[in-house]
Amino acid sequence: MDNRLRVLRAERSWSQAELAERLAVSRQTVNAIETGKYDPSLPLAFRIAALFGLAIEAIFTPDGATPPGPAAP
Amino acid sequence: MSSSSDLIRAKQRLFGCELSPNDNRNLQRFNVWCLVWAIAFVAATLAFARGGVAPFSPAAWLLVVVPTVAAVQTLRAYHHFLREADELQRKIHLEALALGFGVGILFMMSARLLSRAGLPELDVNDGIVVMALTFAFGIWRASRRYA
Repeated sequence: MDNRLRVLRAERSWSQAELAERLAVSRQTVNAIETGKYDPSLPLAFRIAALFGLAIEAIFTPDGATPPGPAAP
Repeated sequence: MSSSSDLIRAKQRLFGCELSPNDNRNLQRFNVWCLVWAIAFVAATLAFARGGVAPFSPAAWLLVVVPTVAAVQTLRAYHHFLREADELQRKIHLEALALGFGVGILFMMSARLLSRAGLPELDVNDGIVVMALTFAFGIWRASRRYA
């Protein structure tokens, strides 16, 4: 699954460690999600979406799909 | 930054896994119980091997109960770690458990057949060692994969 997590994190000048702390996960988890090696669980995906104030679909897209605009629900 | 924190971070970088403080704490608790279990098991084994422990005596039961209690506490500590763990760590550990269990069973079943075919009989502890080593390898492999 593709995601915009790295971009969204960079827009807020957060490090991976800072984002991990806000999401209550390890830095390794954040890195694995950003690099596409790991897809988050649904609860974590919802927490990510809530943290950035976006819909889940605005952050995560199936491989190869075009991401929709960043509008919140 | 303390030297112990640096050591933990260096170890985590080496093995490709990074634990949250909560996971680290829970895993340390598990490690302590593992150590207690190992010491109790070895001490009980040596005590029985030395002889002088009457069958079904209070001493004999004590030598059985103490390592067993330590083992139960170890399992509870690991279960607690898994339940509280960061989801990626939980995935890594479950993958390693599956690998260790599968390879261990495969080894023990194959060893049994091989002993029937003429190879030396193996002890059940050999299978446990294979399980433990394969589990450790599984942790390392999965941690590197998601690093």
